[in-house]
Amino acid sequence: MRKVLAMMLALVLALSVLAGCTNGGNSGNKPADNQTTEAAQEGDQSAAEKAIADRKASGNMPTVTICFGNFAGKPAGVDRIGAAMSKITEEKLGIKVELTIDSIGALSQQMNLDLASGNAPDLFNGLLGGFMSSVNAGYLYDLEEDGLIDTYGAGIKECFKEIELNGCRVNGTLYGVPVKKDDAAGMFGISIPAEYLDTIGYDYASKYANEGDEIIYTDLDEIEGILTQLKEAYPDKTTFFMDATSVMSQCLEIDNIGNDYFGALCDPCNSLEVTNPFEDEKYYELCRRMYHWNHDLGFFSMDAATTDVATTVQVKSGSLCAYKTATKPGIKQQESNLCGMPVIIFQCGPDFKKASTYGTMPWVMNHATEDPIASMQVLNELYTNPELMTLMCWGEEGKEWKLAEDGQHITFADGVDAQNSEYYNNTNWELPNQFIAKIWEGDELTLWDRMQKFNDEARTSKAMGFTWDNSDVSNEYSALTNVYEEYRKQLELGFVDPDVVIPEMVERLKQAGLEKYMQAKADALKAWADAQ
Amino acid sequence: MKRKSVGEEGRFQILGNIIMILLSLAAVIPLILLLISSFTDDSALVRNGYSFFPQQWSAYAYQYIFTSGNSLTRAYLMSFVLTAIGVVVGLAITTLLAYGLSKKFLPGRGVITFLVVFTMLFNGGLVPTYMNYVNVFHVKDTFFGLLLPGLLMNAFNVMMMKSYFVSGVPDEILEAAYIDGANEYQTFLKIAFPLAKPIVATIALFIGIGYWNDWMNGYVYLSKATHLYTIQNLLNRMMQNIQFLQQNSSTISGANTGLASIPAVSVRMAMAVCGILPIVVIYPFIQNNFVKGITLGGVKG
Amino acid sequence: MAAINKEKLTPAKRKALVKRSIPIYIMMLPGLIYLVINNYMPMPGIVLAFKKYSAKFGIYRSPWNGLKNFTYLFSTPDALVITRNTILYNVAFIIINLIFAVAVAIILSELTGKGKKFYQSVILLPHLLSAVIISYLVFAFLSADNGFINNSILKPLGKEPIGWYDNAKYWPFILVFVNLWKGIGYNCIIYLSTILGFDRSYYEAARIDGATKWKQITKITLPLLRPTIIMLSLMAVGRIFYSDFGLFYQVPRNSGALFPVTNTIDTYVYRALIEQGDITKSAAAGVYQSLVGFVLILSANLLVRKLDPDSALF
Repeated sequence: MRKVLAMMLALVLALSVLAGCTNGGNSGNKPADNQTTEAAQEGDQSAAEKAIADRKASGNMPTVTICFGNFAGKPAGVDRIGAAMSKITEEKLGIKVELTIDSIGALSQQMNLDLASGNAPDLFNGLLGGFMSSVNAGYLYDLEEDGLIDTYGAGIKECFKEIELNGCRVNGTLYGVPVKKDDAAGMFGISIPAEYLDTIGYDYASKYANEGDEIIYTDLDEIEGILTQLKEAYPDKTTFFMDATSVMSQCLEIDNIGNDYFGALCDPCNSLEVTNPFEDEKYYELCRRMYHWNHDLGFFSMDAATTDVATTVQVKSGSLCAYKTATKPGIKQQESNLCGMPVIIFQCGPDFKKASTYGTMPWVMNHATEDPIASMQVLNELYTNPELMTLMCWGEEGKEWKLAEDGQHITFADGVDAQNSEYYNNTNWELPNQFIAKIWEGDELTLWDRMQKFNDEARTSKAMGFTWDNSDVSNEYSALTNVYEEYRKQLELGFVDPDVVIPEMVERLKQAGLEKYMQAKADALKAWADAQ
Repeated sequence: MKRKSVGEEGRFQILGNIIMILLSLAAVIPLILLLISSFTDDSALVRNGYSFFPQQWSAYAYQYIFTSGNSLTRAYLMSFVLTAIGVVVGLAITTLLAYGLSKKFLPGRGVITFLVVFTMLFNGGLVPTYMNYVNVFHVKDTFFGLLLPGLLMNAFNVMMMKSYFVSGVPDEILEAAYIDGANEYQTFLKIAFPLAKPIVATIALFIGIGYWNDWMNGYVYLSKATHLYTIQNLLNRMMQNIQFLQQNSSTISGANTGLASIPAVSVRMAMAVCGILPIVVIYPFIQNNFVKGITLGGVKG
Repeated sequence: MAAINKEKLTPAKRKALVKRSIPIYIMMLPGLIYLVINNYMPMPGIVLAFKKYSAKFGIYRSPWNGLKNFTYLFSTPDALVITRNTILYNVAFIIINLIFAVAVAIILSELTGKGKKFYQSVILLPHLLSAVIISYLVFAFLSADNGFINNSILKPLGKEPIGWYDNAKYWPFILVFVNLWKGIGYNCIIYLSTILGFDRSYYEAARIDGATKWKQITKITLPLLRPTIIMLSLMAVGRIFYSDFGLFYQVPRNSGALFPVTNTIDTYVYRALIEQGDITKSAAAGVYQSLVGFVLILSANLLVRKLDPDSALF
């Protein structure tokens, strides 16, 4: 046996030397960036222009690869769209681009492997591979290295306020650029088909505060009344349902800094104090209300915690009366489309913007990108060139879309629909700047102006610009996640009595290191606040 | 005396058949449910749950699968080609290695056996394996990306086969052949291999199922080469999207839209049916040949 | 033959041995090359478990991190629960699967009718379903609102519907059952093929002696099966710290109320790393699981070698 072990050891050693050699070559052979330094010394605009001119003069076009995920797999037209995009960037920037689109689930798995093995694309949505974990593994390029973004990404900087960009800053380093999207969310929105409200004789038309509003602002007592009537009118349908994983994030004005609730700002617009949200009165109230709705009034399906059928699909099939959603401008149209019938949107909480909103799915640059300047210039173009963004969002004119009759909206090209289109991803929310792309028929032309206003006017967390890096307390994080997962659905969907179970959960969280984790979070937040 | 044993034999046959019928029912009933739900109208499925007697039939799920995106026929073809090549190559190297390990006189046999078993316990992990295959052997987006990683041979199969060679193929027969002047290759081909047919058929089946069921290799090693998708790759990508969205639904505002745009329950069921249907159709034929092989191998001594 | 190694070899014998061995080595070569490519070349990646990974340096040049990547597996109050669940389920699976697989293999081998082939292929089918699909099928039976058990069995009996996914007490049985259901057709194949390889003359002799079926099974089949049973069990012992992720995560639908009986090392690691995606920590979990399996398999093998040298793995 000893002989066997010795041989094995020798083999492993020999192999590790071998592997060490082959892999060593991959690291550290990034091209020297003296070009960048040189360029940065000249004037901003001219440096960018000079880079383009140099590239065109040399006739040496770098290729920048761009990647994002959708839900249907590689679209048939992706190469054609990529070529069309490349035509624009070749002409304007002297850079070729290559577009890759695949199923988001497969891509996010591959992205981790590709980043580790040096095969990843230059630009991609940080959602693939996870933004924070990519940062911690050193996969992402520092966008401010040698003034990269200032020199070559001026257009990007115009799209965002400094504080918004800071949402992608980790420990002071800028690793990404946010996407233009709904940054705030209307808390505790409820969507109910108009038809059902008509049946119970609820006069929703008179409830809007202003003519032409899309949301009725109300409170949970009013909703409870409506749901009670719906339950009577439709005893066979489930009265109410929430997606179990987003209850806290879409119902309560609590800022879960860093996307975990183990220490959060429970009064986020006024105070930077990190407290335990599970002991907060807001959480108790929510859980008690849900317990009342589920246990006492029977609004929920018994399968609420285990079903994986999307809420809107349930409504469409006629098995559900009402559900929770996060609201935003355009929500009424969106939910009506998804449900296949007109819905009325209620909202019981404020519009609220979390500190983490800009860091959820930023566009990032691969640390091993061959030509950072070219990548940054392409990224800049994606944020500023409407033609390019329209291509990326909707495909080519005449092939995928055509101008609608009003001459401003766009719609499916002749003979094309969502099923047979060669490029219909329906994932514009993860693209850099859908605000400058053309607007699809059905949405208002002013949608993005309203969205910008909504983002600007929402109640904003005081921690805006802070990102939480939990790598020092990741053991506690693992333990805490497992405990919370055990209780969350039961509590937040009202299957168990919160006055009994919340204290039990808090006790277990404390055993799992809640206090240590919260303290680390509070310290980091304080250090950040002091530096502001 | 004779009558008694017939009676007992008869009782055994009856009891055995009853047990097997019960087990078969347990296996088949859920599969029938699978088939029926794939033909159920999706709204009815969401509304009433799964049912053996659906309120509303619909072939939408199959329409969806056959019309959307990648070609199903092509994916089937890929699956068959992959499985066939995988079985032939895998079986060859597994059998040869196992045969060698069964030779008690072979110097270094213990060490090699240990090295084989060791791979069953320890592995380098996904990232190093990926780097090895992609950066050293460049299998990304090639057929080899489906064929090579993980599935071709594993320690379990080698050890099973080795143990069969040791116990089921008597040394005396092999030695006799050797002494009669046959060389090692001939002894293996003419005597050991035919005697090992039951296990050869079994391992072939294991390798075949491994390739047929695998989606991970396509998931990891294919990104641009969608023409290489096997049927499982095609079907599983959608499942993985669902899981991704469920994980991220608290952070992605578009998750709800995404979940709603993913084909519904009946389609997932139809995909599963598409995945196992060919096996149901083809397996009896394969089995026929296997059983012939096995019985041939079994008659000896 | 077995004694050859231990004898002092004469030069002539040694030469003959080498001459015989070379063709064997050549036959083994393709398999060994595959093991090197597929298993041993990535094997050094195990060091990842002990590194503080940074893409800048790559796997092998990243700084060492001691045993820090392992601590999350033990620092949780749930450590005991997940270890207990993993081990107990595996022990149950090993024993129950063994008994059923051997029984079914014996029955199938003794059946004479036409049904035999049909049974064999039908019970294999569940093995071809993915865990996600199995989770849907299980849900079809156990769903609280629409499930067959609640609607078609309990309701007509006038019993209250059961929230299957809220009650942890049922799940050890459900999981063992699902595992058995999924695996029985596959697991019995190996025993079946082994039995079919047995020398039929033993049975004929026994029949002539008037041995009953039961006697034939216990006195001939089972003893002949022993090496196979021991070997399969030994290999299963090596994987005792692993768990079938799909079975413990997908099938119970990630229901929190069931965690006390469904949380295993693999599901714990998965939940812990969803957000963090830390490759060093998942590597650490793998090393931990492998190491325990390694120690167990070595000790078990040692024991087997004492009791029954022919059945030992190596």
